[in-house]
Amino acid sequence: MSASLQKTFRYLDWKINAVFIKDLRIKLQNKTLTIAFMSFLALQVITVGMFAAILSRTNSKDTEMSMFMWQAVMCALIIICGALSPFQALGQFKSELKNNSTELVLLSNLNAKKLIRGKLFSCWCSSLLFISTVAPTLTFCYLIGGIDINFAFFTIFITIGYLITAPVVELTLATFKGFMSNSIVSLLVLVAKAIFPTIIYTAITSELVRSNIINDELWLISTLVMLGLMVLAFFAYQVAANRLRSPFEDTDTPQRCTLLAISSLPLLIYLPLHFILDYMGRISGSASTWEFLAIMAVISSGIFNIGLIFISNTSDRIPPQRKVKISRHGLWQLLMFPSVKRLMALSLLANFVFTTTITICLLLYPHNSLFYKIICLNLSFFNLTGCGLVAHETLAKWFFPKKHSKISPATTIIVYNLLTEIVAMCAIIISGWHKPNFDLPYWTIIALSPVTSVFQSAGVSDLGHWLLLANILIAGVACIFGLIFAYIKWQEGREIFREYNEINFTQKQSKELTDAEN
Amino acid sequence: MSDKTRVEVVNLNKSFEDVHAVRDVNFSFESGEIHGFIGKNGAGKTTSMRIISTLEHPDSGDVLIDNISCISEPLKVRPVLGFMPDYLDSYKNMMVDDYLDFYARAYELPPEKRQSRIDDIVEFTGMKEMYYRPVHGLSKGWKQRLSLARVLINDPKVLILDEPAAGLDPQARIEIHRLLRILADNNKAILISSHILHELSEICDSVTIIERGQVKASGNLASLQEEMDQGRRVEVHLDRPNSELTKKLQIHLCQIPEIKNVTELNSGASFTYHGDDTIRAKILSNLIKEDFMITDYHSAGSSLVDAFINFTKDNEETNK
Repeated sequence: MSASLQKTFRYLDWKINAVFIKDLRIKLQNKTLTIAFMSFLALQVITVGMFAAILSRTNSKDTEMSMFMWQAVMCALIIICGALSPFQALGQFKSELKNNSTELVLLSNLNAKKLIRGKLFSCWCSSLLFISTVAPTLTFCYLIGGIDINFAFFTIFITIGYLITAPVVELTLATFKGFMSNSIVSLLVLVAKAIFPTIIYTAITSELVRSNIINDELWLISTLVMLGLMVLAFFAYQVAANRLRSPFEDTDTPQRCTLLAISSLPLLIYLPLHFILDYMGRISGSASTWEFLAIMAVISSGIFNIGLIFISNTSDRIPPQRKVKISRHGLWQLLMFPSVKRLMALSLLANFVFTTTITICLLLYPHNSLFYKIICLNLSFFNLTGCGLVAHETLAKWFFPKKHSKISPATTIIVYNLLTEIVAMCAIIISGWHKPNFDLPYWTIIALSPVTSVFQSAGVSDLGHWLLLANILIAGVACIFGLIFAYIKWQEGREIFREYNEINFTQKQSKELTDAEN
Repeated sequence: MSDKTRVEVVNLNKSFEDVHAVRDVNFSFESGEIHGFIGKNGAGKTTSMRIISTLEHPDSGDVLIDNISCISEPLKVRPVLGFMPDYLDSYKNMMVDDYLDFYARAYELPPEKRQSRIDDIVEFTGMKEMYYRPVHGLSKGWKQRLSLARVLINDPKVLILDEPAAGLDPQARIEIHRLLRILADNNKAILISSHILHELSEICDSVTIIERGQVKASGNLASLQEEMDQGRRVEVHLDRPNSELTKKLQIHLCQIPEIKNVTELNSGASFTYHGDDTIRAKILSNLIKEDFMITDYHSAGSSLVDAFINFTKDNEETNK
């Protein structure tokens, strides 16, 4: 028995991911994890102690306070494990990529996917450590009576979903060139990543407690959302692995142009449709049922992944790490997107599905639920990412042709995001802080722009209305620029692709001839 | 793969935007050989080495290791390849033992062999005293040793070392050279780059001289000398020299048939000759017989330095 156990352990020791072991060892030797862990424990002790003191003074079971305490602890968990810890992983991974440690690792038996997986496992492992410590707080809150087991597990469930996704997204961002180069941008990203999910989390849980709707149906929907998050995590993981396999080069080469032509085609189809549908959605005024949207969210995430299956077999450059096969079939070609534009094109594809769905719902069913807004938020993210990348490619290529490869697409996305956020914020301020026409607080709406402007079509001042239109206009201008850019690239790439096919055909013919002669 | 591993670099080309970093580079080396890759900074050494190590893709050309292409079948050649970059900028908060353990795991060494392999390498590279130290706290010399230890973890047949002794103190440099010689004697094919010619002349069996991405000369040192047709230079220094004595020495040297290009020095003369060390010894014995009071008799400059100057001279003149 002991021999077979030993054999099993030895096998596990052999097969366990080397990067996972390495990162975990680094984490344990790093003081940051210890400090974060101790701080989190201290926060729980202080929070529970403080509330216990208040409760003993009032001598009553304050259910609202209990819920608030639970929310505070979970928000801290999200900030530490969903923002700070993955951000640290991002920094570490970025520095490893910069000092070429990663390429030495890739020379070994580890491939890009194993490397990303190892990093993810170590992040999840530390998250698990933090999650395991909330049990005493959970018990305390449950005993006070503010939350029931169903609610507690539901909140933990959605928190885990976020904590699984966040590190994958961060590691994917790390593979993008120059993402950490600008410290201000990095700081903004960190703050956004800390605040954004916390707001959403608080909004969701507060709404749930207020409406008391934790039931089987909600579990089903949250499972669907969890599934969506898993799909997103898988998507991000695939992109990160592909980025790692591909050398970090942005120069145009024949192969790149070839694939650019292929990627430009869906862009050409998508952009006019998107703008028309989005605008229709904005002017239609009210919303629809959220169940249908949630299902569509999962479907569109599925589309991402179907595309990724094909994408994993191709690249903009033929790196030494793997072989490339460009399909001759037009349908498969559509799904082969190059590097940065791969992400953009997929975002656009998902965005298209979202926008179409929302527009249909807007036209068919008048509804204004919180879940609808949450889905709008996702749409907004994809919208901004897609438009930002298009704007970046166009502006960088046209105005800074020589510095093109040095301008980070990530910086452009963030600048673009900030620009739209500022305009949206001004619109909201001018339209009047004290006159909300929807449930969410204004700071959440800022995060939801520009798609949330759908909700603001009524009850805003003239100037606010114009600013909101300006917001839409920015997206519109980016789309038009992108359209022209895509058209030029499409033409250029088609030409190169034709040549490529001719060369391939000639080579094939000459090979056949040689074979026949032999 | 056979016991004798052969690495062939064939018509390698690589451009970065408008810079043609490597142009039609051809050379080869095999097991038991230390092949020097000489060139100034920016000559294309690192790019070529990265291509050989499957880290970079060439625009055209190929690298064959025992007739297996590094370009089309990189996964097949990686197990026999070890690449050591010019500087080890490793992970923070990581100990030397963890670092080596990580790479041993990354190469999927079985657990029962892992520790013994690490122990052997640590013994070989003399890293025992640094075994439990953090990697980022090591000196440059120790980092280079650790880097060499990492390269050796999977026992590769071909070692590609990019300036392994750059920035090291003389003792550390000698130690690295000693280790490389042992590895070459253990049937490893070693490619080592440097722009410090004396360093390579001490350990290389053959060299490739690269200038502005183009190979200027390639082969073993003797063949390069023949190609240059220049001979080896020797300096002779006399006891209590004066103009009459040095003049006499010069006249006498000119009469020896093997000697060419005699030039005057403050305390003696220098000359070049064709032939091996026996000829040099005969010349010395001849001078002693003629009662010249010699205080110093030595080779002036390495033949590799002469070769490098000679092969890159034409290019510089063309540029001027």
